[in-house]
Amino acid sequence: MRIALGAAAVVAYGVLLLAPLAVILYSVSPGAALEIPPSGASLRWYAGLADQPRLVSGLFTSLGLGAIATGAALVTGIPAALALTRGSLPGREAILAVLLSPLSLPGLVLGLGVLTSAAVLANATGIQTAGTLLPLFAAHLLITIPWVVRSVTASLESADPALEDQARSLGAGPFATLFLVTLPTARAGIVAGAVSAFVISFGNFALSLLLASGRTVTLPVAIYEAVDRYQDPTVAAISTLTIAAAVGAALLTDRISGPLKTRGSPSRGGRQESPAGLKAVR
Amino acid sequence: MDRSRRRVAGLLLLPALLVVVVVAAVPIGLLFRVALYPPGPVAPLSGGPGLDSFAGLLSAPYPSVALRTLRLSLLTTVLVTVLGFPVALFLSRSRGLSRRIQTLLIVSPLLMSVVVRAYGWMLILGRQGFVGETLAALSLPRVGLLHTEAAVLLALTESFLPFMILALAASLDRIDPDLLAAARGLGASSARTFLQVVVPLTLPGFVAGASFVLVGSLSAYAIPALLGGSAARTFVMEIYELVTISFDWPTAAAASLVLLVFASTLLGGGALLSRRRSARTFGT
Repeated sequence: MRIALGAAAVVAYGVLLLAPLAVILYSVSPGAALEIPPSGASLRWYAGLADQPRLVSGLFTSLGLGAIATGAALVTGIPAALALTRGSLPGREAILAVLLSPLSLPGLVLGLGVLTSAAVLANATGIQTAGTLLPLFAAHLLITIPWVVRSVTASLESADPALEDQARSLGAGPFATLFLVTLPTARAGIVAGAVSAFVISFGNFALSLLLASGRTVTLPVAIYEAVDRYQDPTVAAISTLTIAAAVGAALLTDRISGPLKTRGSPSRGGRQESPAGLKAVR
Repeated sequence: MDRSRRRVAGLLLLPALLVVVVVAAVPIGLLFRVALYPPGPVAPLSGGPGLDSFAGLLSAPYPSVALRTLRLSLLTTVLVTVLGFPVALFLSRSRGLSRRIQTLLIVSPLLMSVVVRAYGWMLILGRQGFVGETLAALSLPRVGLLHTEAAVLLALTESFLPFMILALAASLDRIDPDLLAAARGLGASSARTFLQVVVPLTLPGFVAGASFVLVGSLSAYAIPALLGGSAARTFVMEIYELVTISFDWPTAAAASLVLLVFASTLLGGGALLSRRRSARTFGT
């Protein structure tokens, strides 16, 4: 039995590894064509990235967008998580569901909605946001907040409330308690939320596709456009860099929050589970 | 005390809720308004309001495209479940370093952009790709699997497998070992324990995972566009082309809303089902 399960697991993990491995192998190919068996290895396509302004500017756009979206998601998401866990609010579940709902909206549809809003805004006020980073930033903020809220909420829920009571009774004011006790105990959740928010923004494609144009083309969109255009491993080279970053992020989260867990957050039965992976990167 | 506490909590929630309203609710409302204009590549939009753009979705090619999309999503969900269940069982029985490494293998792909993974599958399946070149090296006829429904199905399955494994494993982890011991103690064989205790207890995880995979694969764009192309057009690909090629915003908005309502119904139904199921199983 155990052997059969192990075999199934090996097959599944193999399937999961295939696509990234293909990209990595092609990226070190000595020639433009894929060779079986390979005649050697070369890093020339990595050096060649310097001559690919669209991919390079996509990389920087995505890094910048990811950073500001993550920052803004932390600024809005952490207070929301505090309110949800410490605010003794009625309808807490419903509010949480609303905050997490963007994760289950089809990305392209959301992108079309944001694009429409930008057009309506331009018609009504003359303020042109199309072609700027603003629609992309708004859309990325929308889908990164849920990750911060989810991760920080879980972290605050598992923190010992007695600690805060003790701080209070020792004379700490509400702000001192917040910054010296509550937030430090949620540190793992905050860092994990920030890492997932950044990763989600950095890799997002469907939502960005209709909103990215000209100088605001993000890396996934640039890769998508380049895949058909370059019949050489240049795209594989930059893709390999993002694969390395993804593995690095996974290791980082593992480090921060201890062994990655598949165990759900203190779960309330079968509440609608948005990406289950979220719990894992907690 | 309690009231001022709630007021502070409300203020703390405000920015995040405002983002959801401004960036999700308002845009979806505007899509509805756009969908009420008469269909066609007209700018600026005028005329209506009417439901013609919705009615237009009943004519070719939309019904057949919708059916193909649905079929791909259902097949993806089935494949992901069949492949994911044994893996989840194996994962939930692993401890220590093995569990950590497995989780890393499952989670890492989720952190990579879907475009990069779809590109990987293009490199594998293409006529000049790993499969094609390997066949050629073995002096066998080249086979190109790219731009087929099978390629889309394979890549969708790979991209949603981690979600299903994690959802099922979360359910399996929650099973009280005493329950299994009790079933054994009462004389149930291990096969019977598995079928009558373990499998029913994973249903909430399965329903949550399946509704997520269904909706996710219905909404996928990069994978069908890169691996299927014109050979496997999906509903979301039609929406994209309505916007960028035929400039028919009303029809694009109508199609978006249909997808949105369908996806929300699936997710809501899934959530209800799994809640009822777990309520019944756990007697709460």
